[in-house]
Amino acid sequence: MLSNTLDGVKMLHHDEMRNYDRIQGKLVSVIMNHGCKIIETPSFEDYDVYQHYFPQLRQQMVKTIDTDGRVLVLRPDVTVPLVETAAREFPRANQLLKFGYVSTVFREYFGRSTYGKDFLQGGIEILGDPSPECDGEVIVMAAEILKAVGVEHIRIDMGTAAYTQALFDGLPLEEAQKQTLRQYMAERNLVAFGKYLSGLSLDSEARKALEAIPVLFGPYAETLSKARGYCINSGMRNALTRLEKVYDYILYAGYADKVQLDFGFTSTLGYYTDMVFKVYVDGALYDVIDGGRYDKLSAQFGVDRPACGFGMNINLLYEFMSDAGLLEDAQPSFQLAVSYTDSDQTLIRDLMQWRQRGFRVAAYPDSSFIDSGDYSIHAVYRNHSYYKDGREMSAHDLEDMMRGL
Amino acid sequence: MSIHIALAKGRIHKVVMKYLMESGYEFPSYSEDSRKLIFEDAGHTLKLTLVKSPDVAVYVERGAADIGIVGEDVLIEDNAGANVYEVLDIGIGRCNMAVAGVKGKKVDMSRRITVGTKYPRIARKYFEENHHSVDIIKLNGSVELAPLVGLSDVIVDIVETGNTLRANGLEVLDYFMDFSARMICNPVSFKMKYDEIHTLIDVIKKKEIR
Repeated sequence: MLSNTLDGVKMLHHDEMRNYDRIQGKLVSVIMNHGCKIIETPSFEDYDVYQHYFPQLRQQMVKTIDTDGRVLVLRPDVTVPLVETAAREFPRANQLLKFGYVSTVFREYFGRSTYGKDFLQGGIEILGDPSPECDGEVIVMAAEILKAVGVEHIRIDMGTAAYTQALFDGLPLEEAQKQTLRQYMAERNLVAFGKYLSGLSLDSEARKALEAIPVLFGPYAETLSKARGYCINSGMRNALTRLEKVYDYILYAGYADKVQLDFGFTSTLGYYTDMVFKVYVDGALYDVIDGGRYDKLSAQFGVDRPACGFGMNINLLYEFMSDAGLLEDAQPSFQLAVSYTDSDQTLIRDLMQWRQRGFRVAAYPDSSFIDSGDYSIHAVYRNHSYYKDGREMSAHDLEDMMRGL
Repeated sequence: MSIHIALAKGRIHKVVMKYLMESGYEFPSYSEDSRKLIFEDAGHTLKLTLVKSPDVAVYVERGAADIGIVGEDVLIEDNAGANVYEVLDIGIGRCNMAVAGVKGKKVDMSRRITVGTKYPRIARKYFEENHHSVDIIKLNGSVELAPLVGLSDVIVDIVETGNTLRANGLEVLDYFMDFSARMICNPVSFKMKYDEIHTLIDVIKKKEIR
């Protein structure tokens, strides 16, 4: 007997599917309320494209070979193919495009106690709108989705990659030295960052800013004023002014109490160009949503178009909702299960009529076993009549009982 | 909010526990020889878990613990790329990584040599950087034996005093890395419990300076 011993793959059961459906339904309805079009990118992508844009995903991606011998990867993300397709099909750079999706993404993920080789990702991408209001809308949409699925206690950490970029641009350092600093920041290695920084020759203002940035996070007003104190050039000041406008949108939308600032977000790749954010749910030590503005990606596909969006790991959200008791309980798959010795036309006609009226019913031969958790009402069909708990009942009586459930 | 610390079982946990108790934390249920793996301090601000050193970063990365204290060697060898903050060099448990061979016996580095070690990743990196071709044999203990019984030409191992090497007739050919214990932190805890974590960092820093 061959048994499946692969880690990180599993079958989803009925109740899980229903809960995933419910989460997806709410997500789709929120993003459609914001005017997003729902799309799905291809399951297969070109390995070379991803190796180019996301070299750090090289090992993580699931590779496969097509019939022509080309190396393909199973969808490792949605943003790249979406932006690429949009650049091809909608070449007007200022055309507003709002997309939303729910797709399986083939990448490893870890929760506290879960691990998977793929996960369901939901998200949005807004192309063609450079305004801070757009960033605000993206963040608010993320918050609204969590609210719609019943997750009330959230925390939004917002920062700006432009601020850090402007600081680095203003440093009198070699490119390689900047790279090393960014690398340590991205690795969150504060020990190595501090040691390396102490060996560089910098004026005290720049040094103070660099020392502060990796741990510059906290409540909005307080952190913003600290960040303002570290500005060494107009680029940094402009980044903060823009961030304030994003915050204003969130404030008017009613989510200001959830927002904190974090200037420590980093990525070595420079994928995000301005606002970046992560959403944490209460009690979970991982973020369920992350996103931001990435104005330079589309230009690499020939259309210089600003973009902002987020992705959400629905499997992680599911884990959290399960721990927090926010999922719906199991429900029997049959409202009525009828066991019979001999089936006949009356039984089949009754079943058809019940189903037409929207009831979940099924009949099975009494030689089969049925789990008592699978049905709400159980009846026996014998000699052209129905019996429940030994009492004879009509098809009409049974239907009334189902209606009363 | 209490913080949960995963400590590498062994020398590190003994020193850290001593630090904490000298700094005023009380752990009524802790004693060095106890088999218990979870302790809480009397003021309910710290919870400590003792785990095997390569597991510390796993606990912290997955959020089963907020903070971990573990040797830098372990972080490099077993937990490369873990998504955790490295927040503090605690300075305890300092030791060196070294290449050692049989005393007085010359190793011909121009040919492919065999290396016995508990640290294959660190060893491979060292030899690659020095342009040597090597075969690495991963061993789990008593690494000093390997060159003596002809299993390998040299070993790569942690050296503290060098006593074990001398007792077995080996000598250090090259010291190439020094390590100390590090405090690592879950990236979300680092933000959510910043004040509590900083209090702890200050407590430990004070100890370190003395």
